[in-house]
Amino acid sequence: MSRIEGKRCSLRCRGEEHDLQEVEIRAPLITVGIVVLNGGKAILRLARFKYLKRQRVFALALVIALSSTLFSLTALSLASLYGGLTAYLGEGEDVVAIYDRRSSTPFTGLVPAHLAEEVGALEGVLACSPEVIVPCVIKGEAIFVRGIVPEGFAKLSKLTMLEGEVLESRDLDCAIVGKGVAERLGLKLNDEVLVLSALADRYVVLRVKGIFASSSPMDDEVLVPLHVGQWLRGAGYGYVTLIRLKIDGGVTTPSKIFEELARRASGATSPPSPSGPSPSQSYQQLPAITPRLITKFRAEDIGVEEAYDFMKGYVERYGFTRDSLLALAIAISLLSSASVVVASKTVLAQHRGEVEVLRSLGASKRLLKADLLLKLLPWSLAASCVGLALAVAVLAALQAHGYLRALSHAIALRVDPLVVVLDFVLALALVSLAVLRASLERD
Amino acid sequence: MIELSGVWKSYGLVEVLRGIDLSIREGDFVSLRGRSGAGKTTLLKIMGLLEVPDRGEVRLLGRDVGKLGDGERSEARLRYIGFVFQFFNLIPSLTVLENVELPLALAGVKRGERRRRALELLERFSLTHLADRFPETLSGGERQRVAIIRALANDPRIVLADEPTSSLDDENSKLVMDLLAEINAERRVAIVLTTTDLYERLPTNRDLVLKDGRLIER
Repeated sequence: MSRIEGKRCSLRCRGEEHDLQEVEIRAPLITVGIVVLNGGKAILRLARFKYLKRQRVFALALVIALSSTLFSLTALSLASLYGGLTAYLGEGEDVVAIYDRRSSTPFTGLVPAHLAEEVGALEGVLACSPEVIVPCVIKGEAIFVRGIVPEGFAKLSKLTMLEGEVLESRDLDCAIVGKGVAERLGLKLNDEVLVLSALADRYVVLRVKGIFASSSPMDDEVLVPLHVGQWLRGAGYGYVTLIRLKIDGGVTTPSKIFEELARRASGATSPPSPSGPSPSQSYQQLPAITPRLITKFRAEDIGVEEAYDFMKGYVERYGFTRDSLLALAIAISLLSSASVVVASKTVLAQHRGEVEVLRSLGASKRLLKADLLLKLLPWSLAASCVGLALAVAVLAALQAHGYLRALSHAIALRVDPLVVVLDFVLALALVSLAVLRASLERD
Repeated sequence: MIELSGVWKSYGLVEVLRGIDLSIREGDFVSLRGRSGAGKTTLLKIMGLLEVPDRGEVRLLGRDVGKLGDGERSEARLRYIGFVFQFFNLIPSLTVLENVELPLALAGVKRGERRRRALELLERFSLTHLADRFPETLSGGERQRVAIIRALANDPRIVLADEPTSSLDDENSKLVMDLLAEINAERRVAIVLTTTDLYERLPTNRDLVLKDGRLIER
């Protein structure tokens, strides 16, 4: 109960008298609270009346689902492509790549092979894998062949042998093939395959010694001893395409490794580490790459980066950034967004009669719009979920049938959370926009 | 109850209403005649606070409604005004009972209470047997009678009926007109109905003609 006496105002509530100051503070809050509460109650009261025809709302949901499918298909396939390429060499912060800065692709650079032994001996470097990547043709299909030093490679990439045996450095006439390649080319254990290099006028016949699975794009590659790879690459035994390292981030960093390489390029040597193994000790741990050729190199031609950043740098060099891909997906979705907006407006126009009756009965525009949102948004959300699920199913089917590939590597389907959020936000925002901007008046 | 003074309304270059002065009092039963496109519906919508005049003043129960926002105008419509349209009156996806409950729900009447009151209304006008049926299963006359009953749900002070009999046959027209007359006599609810028939005999106590945007009392 309130009482106003001249300029003094007091409020009696539950037997307690509250003074003016208290009322001044609480009154607006109470008013806002009552308005919100009443508004909410009114919306809930109207929400019980299902005045929208289900068929019409279903048609809108169908358009949203299709639009969502289109957006998700585009965005997820592009995001998977981007993710697959950038994670090609490994995703962890502890995986570092030493590469040729001058190369225009990640597969065509040349790095002095002897750096592998030198870098492998540095403090904080846990594993070192010099690798030669060569695009080749096997049974008429483009396949990447990777020359590796099996012992070093195994420390960086986990392979599960499905059939046969692991590769060894002395297996110069053997290869192990990823399960993707084996399935695609119909290769079996002990098959002999002719491998034609695409970078040099060379070929080699190799026996399938094993079939492996790696849960990575390497499933679509053929692994051979380093020297076989170097032979196919045609650039001599003194070079590799890149050197992958596994480092202890607490001890060393890519920049430290680069500094060390720069020192070596200029002819200086670093002081021996007091705690780490001596270079000579590490030298013995790593299998020797024979014939050992010491080649001169310029520090500015060598890059040392986390493997993820290295691949990302190449991918983004051609304007293939995550943002640009999303922008492309959004641009495509804008086309389908137009259909969502038109469908939303159509649904509202189809219910113009109902809206007019409700307006004549005393429903305010605000209440009607809130109620329309309450009725349409759950459908929109459900429809965009269906659209997303449909897109994932289509991509999974494409992937299962080997249609989702980049540079002859199968792309792992990644459901990017940003795409999921954008998908929902777009659907909800477009429907909300159409409802909120509707005049709710007969023309 | 409702007073219009100097009301003007135009759509683009077409002046539909040109300085309308009108006062509707309690218990009035007014027929508003005019040819198609004469502006009857526009005038009805202005009286029902669904449209705003370009110029002039509209007062409901002595209060100038021109300055009210949509929320307050809707609230006033909910409390004091009942509407009956020519064609689209009932919401097709709701039963007759739900249609009658709708204005009560908007007014904040709780579920049980509004059901009781809606059934009471249907019973009062002998339409209880239609309660669970959907509008598409009703005849035109039944639909219009249900619409009129729904317009009464919140005990309005005035009912505005836009050509309520134009789509009905003679028999149903008479039933609807009798119902309106009964409501007017029994509840003292003011009723304004529009018709395109300039000569039809109607049980109204005031007869207005809208011609060239001006109102003539006969």
